[in-house]
Amino acid sequence: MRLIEKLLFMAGLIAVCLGGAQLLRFELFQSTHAASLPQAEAVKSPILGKLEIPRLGLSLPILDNDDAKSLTLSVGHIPGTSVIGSLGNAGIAGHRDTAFRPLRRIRVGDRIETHTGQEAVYVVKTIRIVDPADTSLLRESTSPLLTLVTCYPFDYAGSAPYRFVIQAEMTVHSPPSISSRPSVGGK
Amino acid sequence: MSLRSIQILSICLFLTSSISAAAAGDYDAQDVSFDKPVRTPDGILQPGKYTIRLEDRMADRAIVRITEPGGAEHYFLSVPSKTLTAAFKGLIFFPVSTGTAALNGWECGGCKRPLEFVYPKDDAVALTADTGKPVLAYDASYDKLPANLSPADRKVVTLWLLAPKSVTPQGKGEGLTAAKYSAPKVVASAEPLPKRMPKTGSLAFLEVIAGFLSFTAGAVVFLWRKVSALPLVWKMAGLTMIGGMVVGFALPVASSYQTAKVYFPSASQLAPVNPVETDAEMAVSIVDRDTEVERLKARNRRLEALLAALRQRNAGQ
Repeated sequence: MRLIEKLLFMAGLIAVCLGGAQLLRFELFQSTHAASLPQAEAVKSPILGKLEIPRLGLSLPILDNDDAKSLTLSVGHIPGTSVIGSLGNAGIAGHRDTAFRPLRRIRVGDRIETHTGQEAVYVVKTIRIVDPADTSLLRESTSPLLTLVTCYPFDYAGSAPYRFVIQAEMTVHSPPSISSRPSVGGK
Repeated sequence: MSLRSIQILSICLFLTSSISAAAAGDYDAQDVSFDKPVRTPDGILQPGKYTIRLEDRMADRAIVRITEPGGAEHYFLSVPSKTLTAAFKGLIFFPVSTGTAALNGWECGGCKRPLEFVYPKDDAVALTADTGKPVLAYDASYDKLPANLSPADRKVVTLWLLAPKSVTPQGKGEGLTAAKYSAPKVVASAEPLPKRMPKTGSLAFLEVIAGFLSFTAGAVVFLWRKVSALPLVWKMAGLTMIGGMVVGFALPVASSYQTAKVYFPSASQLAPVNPVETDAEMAVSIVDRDTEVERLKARNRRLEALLAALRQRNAGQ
C-alpha cells in the first residue's frame, strides 16, 4: 500500500514538473523575445520576426520551424510554405493552449500584422476547421495569404482531433529598403 | 573564343558553384564565386563571391536573390523550367560564344525542377541572337509597369518566350518570335508541403492535470491507509468528505474540458468582413486586385477605342 502511495506521489510530481517546465519555458521565451525583432547582423537567428493581432493583444516572435521544440517556445513558420510577408501563402503554426490560445476569439475581418523585414498587413477572410490530413489550405494561391494553424477544440486535453485554420489576405505590403532588410528569409 | 574554351569556362563556373553549394549546406541558398564577369537578369556581376538564395515562391514563379559581399542585393524573376536540365544542383549557364557568360538558371538544393531566369526584354533579345536558344523574358512596358519591378509587379508581369526564327551553323539566332509563356504550376519549393497539418497541441496542460490526479490518488491511498485503522463511523465520515471534495472541485474542473465533441465557429466568428483601416504610413504599395482589374478594364477600353479609330480610318480610305 505504501509503495503504491509513493509511486502515485512520484508520478504526480514528475508530470506536474514536466508540464510546468513547458509552460515556464514558453513564458520565459515570450518575456525575453516578445519585444525584439531580428537584427540585420543576426543572420542565423531562429527568430524570423513578429506576429501581431492588435484586437486580441497578441504579439509573438515567429520561429523558423514548426517542430516540437520551436512550438514549445512560440509560433513557427511551416516549412514548405512561402516566406512570411511574401506574395505566396505563408503558414504559421502554434500551440492552441499557449501561444495561439487567444485565437479562439478571432473573427473574420481582424487585422494581422507580420514584421519580418517585409512588413505586411493581412485581414482575416476565412476560419475553418479541418482534418489534420487536409493540407489543401497550405497550398500556393494566386493571392498573398497568411495561414495560421492551431489545434481544435481549444479546450481539448491531449492531442486534438482537428485543426483550426485561419486564412488572412494581404492588404498592405511594404517591401523593406535594401539597407534595412534583415537576412531572415529563405525557408 | 573557341568552343573548347567556352566549354572549359562553363565547366569551371559550374564546378565552382557546385562545390560552394556543397559547402554552404543551406537547402535554399548557395554560395557561388565567379572568376569572370557574369550576366544576370539584374545586370553584370563582377568576379567575386556571392550568395544566391530562393527568396520567394509563388504558384507559377519564384524570386531569386543574389547578395554581394558588400550587402547589395539583386532580385530577379524565375520560373520552374520545362526544359532545363542540370547534371548537378547548381547554376546553369547559357552557351554564349563571345563576351560575358550569362546565367540561364539555377537548381537549388531542394528544387523539384531547375529555375529558369527571366531576363528583361532587351537582354533576352540579345541573348537569343547570341545563343540561338529560346530565352524567357518580360516586357515591363507591355504591362505598363516601371522598369524596376516591385515585388507586386513581379507577381503579375506577363512572361514571354523569345526564340530565334532560325539558327545559323555558328549557333547564332536569326529573326525573333515572341509568344506568351505560361509557366507550369509547380511550386519552386525547396521543401515539400507537409503531408499533415503541424502538431499544435502541447501535452503541458494534460501533464499538469495528470500530475494533480496522480497526487489526488496518492492522497486518497494515504488517507485510506490512515482511515482503515479507525472505527466505521469515522470511515464513513471520511468517505463522505472525499465524495464532497470530488463533487465540489473535481467534477466542475473535468466538465470544463471538452471531450471529442466537434465545434464549429459561431455566427459572430463568421460575421461579414468589416472594413479595415490601413496604415497609410506603412503602405508603400497596395496589393489591390480591384485596382488591377480597373486598370486592365481601362486598358481594354483604350485598345477598343484605338481599334475603332483604325477601322474608321480604313473604311475612309
